[in-house]
Amino acid sequence: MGWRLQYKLAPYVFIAPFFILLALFTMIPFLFSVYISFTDWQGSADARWVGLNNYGKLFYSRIFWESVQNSLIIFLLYVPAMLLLALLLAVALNQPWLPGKGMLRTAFVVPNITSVIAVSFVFVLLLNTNDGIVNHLLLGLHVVKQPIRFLDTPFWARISVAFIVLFRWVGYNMLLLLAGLQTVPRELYEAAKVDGARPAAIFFKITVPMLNKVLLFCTVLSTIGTFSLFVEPYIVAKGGPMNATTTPILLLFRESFENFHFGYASAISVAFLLLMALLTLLQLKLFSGRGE
Amino acid sequence: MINAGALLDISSKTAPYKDKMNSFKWTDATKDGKIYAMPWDSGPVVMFYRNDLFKNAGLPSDPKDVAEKLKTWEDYARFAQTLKEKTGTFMMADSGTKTDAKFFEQIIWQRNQWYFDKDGKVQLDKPEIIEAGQYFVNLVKKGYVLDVEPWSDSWYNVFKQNKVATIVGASWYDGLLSTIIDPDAQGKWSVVPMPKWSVSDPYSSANDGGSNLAINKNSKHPEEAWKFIEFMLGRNDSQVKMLKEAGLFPSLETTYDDSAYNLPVAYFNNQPVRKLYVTAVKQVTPIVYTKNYPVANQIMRNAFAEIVLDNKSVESVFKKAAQELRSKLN
Repeated sequence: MGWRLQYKLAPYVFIAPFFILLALFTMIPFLFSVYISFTDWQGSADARWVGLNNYGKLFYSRIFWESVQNSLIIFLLYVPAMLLLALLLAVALNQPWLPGKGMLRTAFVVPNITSVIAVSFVFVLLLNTNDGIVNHLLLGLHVVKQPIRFLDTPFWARISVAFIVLFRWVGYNMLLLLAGLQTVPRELYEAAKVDGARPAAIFFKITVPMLNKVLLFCTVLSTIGTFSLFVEPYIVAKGGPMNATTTPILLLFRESFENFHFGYASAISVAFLLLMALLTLLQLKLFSGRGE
Repeated sequence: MINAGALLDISSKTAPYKDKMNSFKWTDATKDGKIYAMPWDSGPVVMFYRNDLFKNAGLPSDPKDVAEKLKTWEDYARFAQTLKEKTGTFMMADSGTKTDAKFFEQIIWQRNQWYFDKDGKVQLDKPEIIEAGQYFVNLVKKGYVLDVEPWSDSWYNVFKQNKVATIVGASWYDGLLSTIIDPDAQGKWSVVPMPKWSVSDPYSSANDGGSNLAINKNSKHPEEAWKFIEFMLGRNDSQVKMLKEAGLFPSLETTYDDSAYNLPVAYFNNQPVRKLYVTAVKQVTPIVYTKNYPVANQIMRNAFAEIVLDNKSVESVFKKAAQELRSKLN
């Protein structure tokens, strides 16, 4: 083989392992699940071609739309609050005068790198109605007369799940925003100060617009994250009560691995992909219209 | 697993055991006349109760007296009322909003009813089944049920905290009670038969859970696998050992005249409780879970939550749930 050819081929060979793994473990399974979404496969050797049947069923399935609605509610419950909190934390931790920054940054990111299963179980222990410590404190301080059923009613279960997700992801978003903040040129702030701008004006007129791209990234990630929530609602409420915390992914899990309706479950996953693509496009449009 | 075509047909191998195992165990292991699994243990349902809590409330506490006074579900509710009024303890631990629907399933099974009829048609909106649902909801609403999600940490705790007086459950609670649910309460638990709907009901028990062993269709060593299964499940000695040491109740009926069944069990206040399981298992209605059971169970959990949280009538919610189940299975 000539040197020239080797020189041209080498980069492709170097990146090949990644693409081989991607094809094997992502693309092929993905295409296969698109295929089985058109069948009634239940795990047996023979799968019958049913065309768009699964999609039709999905479209008219009350619980699928409920799961989409649940995700939207949980999204609204925590994403705005989380982004605001993350932004405020990032700005605070970006101040040159603040001591102990390294430790504080670490502290806020720890929930994110802790196993989500462990975090969820700890919240079950904290929040449960009968002997949760939160209810113990609230009762002890006479804030409430009856224990709050944090995990047993649709209303509170959604709030609890949203809170756990916020707790886990605020630090991560803070980190992204902090990185974004550090790319904002200091001169902008100095110029603003010279012009006599108040801190609030500086925050909304300089910080927020300059972080537009990072905020978009955070929102898109949170959207996808919320719709594919699984561990938290599964552990703290099993997707209940009354399906109030069932997300599309939890539904998919139930249909495939509990009910063995693989065809139908695959239809859910394809519909989920389309839905996510649509939402992401929408957000891109929304943010680009505001940025420039 | 059978429907997935993953298991080996072992009809000829299991043939000698056909009459030796609890007959109801074969129904779930059979498809189109072929047998795919060997029964391991059964879960005949009985009532475990705390004799000390019963005594504190002035109720009968000796197993003989309890079996005499607590025969029907009506009696059960009456006992619950006394417990609550006199001592503030609860008759059982389950949840209105996060139930696993097992109690409900046991009390319909006992009545020879199931989510589906013999042809697999959904019959959740049948009057007898609605009545059973209503019974559970009444217990919850009257405050006889301590609201904890079954098998959650809180659920385990309430037994150790002496707050709950009965478990209506399968024989395998025997092993669990003495090891993980309430290990410190030796002598405080006793066993009586499961309450019935009416004293004249022909069947008095239900089955909950229990296991089978099967062989993978692609196994390279099916003969060796079968030898193991036969050794473990087909031999009296092995099965009696599991009964004594793990509290697993054998499906193998030839063991039932073994002396182990008459032995007093220290944890249960020296009551020979295993005899009761034998009586119970002979009264289990042969019903099949079916492959659609997981879907039915999911819908049922939500149905109870809806009844309790939204204060809807049992009948309307069960009718809606039946519709949902029917549309789901088409």
